[in-house]
Amino acid sequence: MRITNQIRRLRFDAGEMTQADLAARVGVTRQTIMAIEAAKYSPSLELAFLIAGAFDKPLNDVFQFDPN
Amino acid sequence: MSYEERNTVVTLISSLLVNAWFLNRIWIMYHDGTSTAPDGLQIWAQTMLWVVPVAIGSVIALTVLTNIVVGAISGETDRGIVDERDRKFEFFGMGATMAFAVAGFLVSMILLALGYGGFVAFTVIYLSFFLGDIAGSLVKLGFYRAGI
Repeated sequence: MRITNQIRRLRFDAGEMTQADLAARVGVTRQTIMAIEAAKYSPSLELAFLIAGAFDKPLNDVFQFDPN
Repeated sequence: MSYEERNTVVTLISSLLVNAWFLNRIWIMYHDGTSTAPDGLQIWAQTMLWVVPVAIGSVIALTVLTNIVVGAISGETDRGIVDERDRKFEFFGMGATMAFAVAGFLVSMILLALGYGGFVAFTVIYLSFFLGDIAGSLVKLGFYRAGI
């Protein structure tokens, strides 16, 4: 998977926000957050923006694209 | 395991149970001469008309029961949520189901052209839907487990 993310670290920085809390904020299941965090699922652009918004960060701070 | 993934497992199990019973009925009808009897296709259709509501009812009952039990044991809070990941995997599963259904229809046409009766042709069409349903569920579970 060439799309990496910083969700785990950002959850930690946000006072150990749980996966369930983040899932509830963006309207998906906890399992989807888990899959995104483990880079087993690439979210849609809309969901990616919602996740970035939940941390009050720009998209680039949450998701990174590695062309290699 | 998410709500939709759990429902996929329940649907798979329910489908296997109901269709195993129906295929057994077809097997008996094929060997006792019903398949070649003048009213063979009528009996086949009457049996099928029972199977469809039983299959739907068993899926609903098993799904409700499973979600109640799992909810009580695990305290899952995201019950009933279907998100974009579920919809994407549903779409992939539907593709597998459709592929089997189309293949079954074509095979049944070939069998009819070769002189087989309507009993065999309809059974092949039914079988393709059943196998397609199983394949669709397995594709979905594969994506849930392996990721995409």
